[in-house]
Amino acid sequence: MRRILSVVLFVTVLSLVVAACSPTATATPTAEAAPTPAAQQPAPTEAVEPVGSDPFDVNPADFSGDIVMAGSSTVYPVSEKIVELFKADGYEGQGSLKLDSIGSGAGFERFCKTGEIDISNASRAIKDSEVEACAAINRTPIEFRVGTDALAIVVNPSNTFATHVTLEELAKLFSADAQQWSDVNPAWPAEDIHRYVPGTDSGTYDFFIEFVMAEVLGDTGEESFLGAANLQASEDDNVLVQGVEGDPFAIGFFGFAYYQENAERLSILSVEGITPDFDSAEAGTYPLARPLYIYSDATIMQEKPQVAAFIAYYLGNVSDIISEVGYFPASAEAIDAAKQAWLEAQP
Amino acid sequence: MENTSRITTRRMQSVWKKNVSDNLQKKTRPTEAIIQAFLFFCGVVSVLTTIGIVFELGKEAWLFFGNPDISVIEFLTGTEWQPKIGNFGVLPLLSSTLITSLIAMVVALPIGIATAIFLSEYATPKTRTILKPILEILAGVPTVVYGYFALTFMTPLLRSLFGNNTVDVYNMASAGLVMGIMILPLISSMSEDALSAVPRSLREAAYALGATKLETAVQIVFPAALSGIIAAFIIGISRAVGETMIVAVAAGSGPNFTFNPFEAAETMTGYIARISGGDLSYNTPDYNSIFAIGLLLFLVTLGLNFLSRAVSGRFREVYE
Repeated sequence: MRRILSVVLFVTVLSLVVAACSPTATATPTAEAAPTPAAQQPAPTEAVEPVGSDPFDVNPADFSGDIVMAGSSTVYPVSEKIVELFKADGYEGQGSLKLDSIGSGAGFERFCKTGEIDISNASRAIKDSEVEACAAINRTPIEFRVGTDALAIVVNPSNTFATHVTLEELAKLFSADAQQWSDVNPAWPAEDIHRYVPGTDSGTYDFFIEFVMAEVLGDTGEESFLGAANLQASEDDNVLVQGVEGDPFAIGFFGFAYYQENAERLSILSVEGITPDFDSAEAGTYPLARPLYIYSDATIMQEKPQVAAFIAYYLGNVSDIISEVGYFPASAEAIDAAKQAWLEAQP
Repeated sequence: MENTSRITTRRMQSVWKKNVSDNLQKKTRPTEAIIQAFLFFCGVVSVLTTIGIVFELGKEAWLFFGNPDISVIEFLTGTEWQPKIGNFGVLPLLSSTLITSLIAMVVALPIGIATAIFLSEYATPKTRTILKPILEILAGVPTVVYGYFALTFMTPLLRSLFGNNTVDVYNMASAGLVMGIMILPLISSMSEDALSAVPRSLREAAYALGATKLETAVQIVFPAALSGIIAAFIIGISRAVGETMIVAVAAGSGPNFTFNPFEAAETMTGYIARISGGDLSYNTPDYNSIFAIGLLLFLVTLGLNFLSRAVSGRFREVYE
């Protein structure tokens, strides 16, 4: 009996090991969003105008079929909101609209290499290497600007010593050269810096490396960042929020929406004397403001009209809802340019 | 005369036996064969699955070690794990796996064995029928629930006991303690089986010699069941080493080479879970690294299972 039991347990342990190895076994948050309550339903696209007068005034009820998108966890809440509205407005293919939050890099991976998805969400512009990968499977990515994020640098609310940082201090705080807060600024306490950062494949990570670490420390910036002690990296921004919330000497960063959502539990730092808000993000004076994008391809948009319709719907509505989610609208010119790109992709 | 008749009887018996066995063989019904084939198939499936797993792990790990920048020695002895910048030392992940498992065993072993002794030696049958199922409920709780139990109950508890500055938000101690609670029913249930299997005559002999109940339990029954208890212990460790969700949620998500249980450190399973969450490019060293770690994990649990067999064989005491 004991022997049988031990064999059974052995197999269980084995299967656990395998389950842990298999990429599909880990749940990724999928937006199987339930239809929204009526209160949240917007009016703008209720097909008041005759269809065809404005290509961005889409009636989702006219379309069906699957739409698959994935990518940045930063863009995720925006796309999630649009998906919700798209369904509430009568999109037929309920449930066949898939949205995964897996990081910008992984989104492009699925868009350009494996060709699994129709739309890729990204919190950074596509890289040349990714465009090449796309070309190899006959896809030409088209960029649509959908909004602006201001990267939030956050600390624990009990942290009163650091309220503003310069870019240089910020880079030092996240580098291997600084062990304690006092190593960066002698006025700060001699306590270990606990760092909570997005994982290495997120667009937020790439953005921070490029615009903070590499800007200040040059090519060694990334190495120094990853070599730092007490570094917790997660693709799940809520893990970072929890970490900073519970740790008096923590510092972390993520998209502004996650700060907005947890504003009472975190303190936000100003960078180079500028607090991130609508004006500073819009004007680009906040040094860590960055564009948010979605990407698709003309062939996909022609073969799957529902994808084209979804993007048109996205561009037509995103500026109205994006501040609800916690980001800032893109300038009117940027949205117009995106709409122009959409029109050019039509047959 | 008597002899002849005995021989005749024997002969008759053997003829009869032969006929019976012939009949039995001939009368095999087709459904019987189908059932046999099905049962055989089920056995083969699990064996083939195991072989498939080993093959797949080995193949992917081979890709990882085939990379000229990575050496097996560096992999096994390096103290920095940061694949993105080419640091492939598995020790930080291994050490935190061992620390969390050790903490879990420190919790699970004494409590588990004490529970087993109580259940098998002291509890009345009625108490046992109530207590045992309750204990087994613990084994049925999904591990992700344990993970959040660690994060939202155990961690705040530890932090209020030892101070917020000593104990990190994500830490190995909390994950290890909760993992101990999770393994507890496994240890107690297997140990209880082992203790109950000790023949009653041993206990009666001990009582006859004037031993108290405690002396009997600890000095007679426990050593007699030692082999089973050691097997339970080792399977408990394998379970702890392979546990994923609790450490992924509560132990932290950054590799950290430390022996301080109050610090955050990512375990091997936690790293695999995080990286395979779909946020890395296929066929990069970082991605392949999870298979190398998986293989290492597999070898550790396999080794522990062999050890368990060897040890329980060594300490086995057979009573008739």
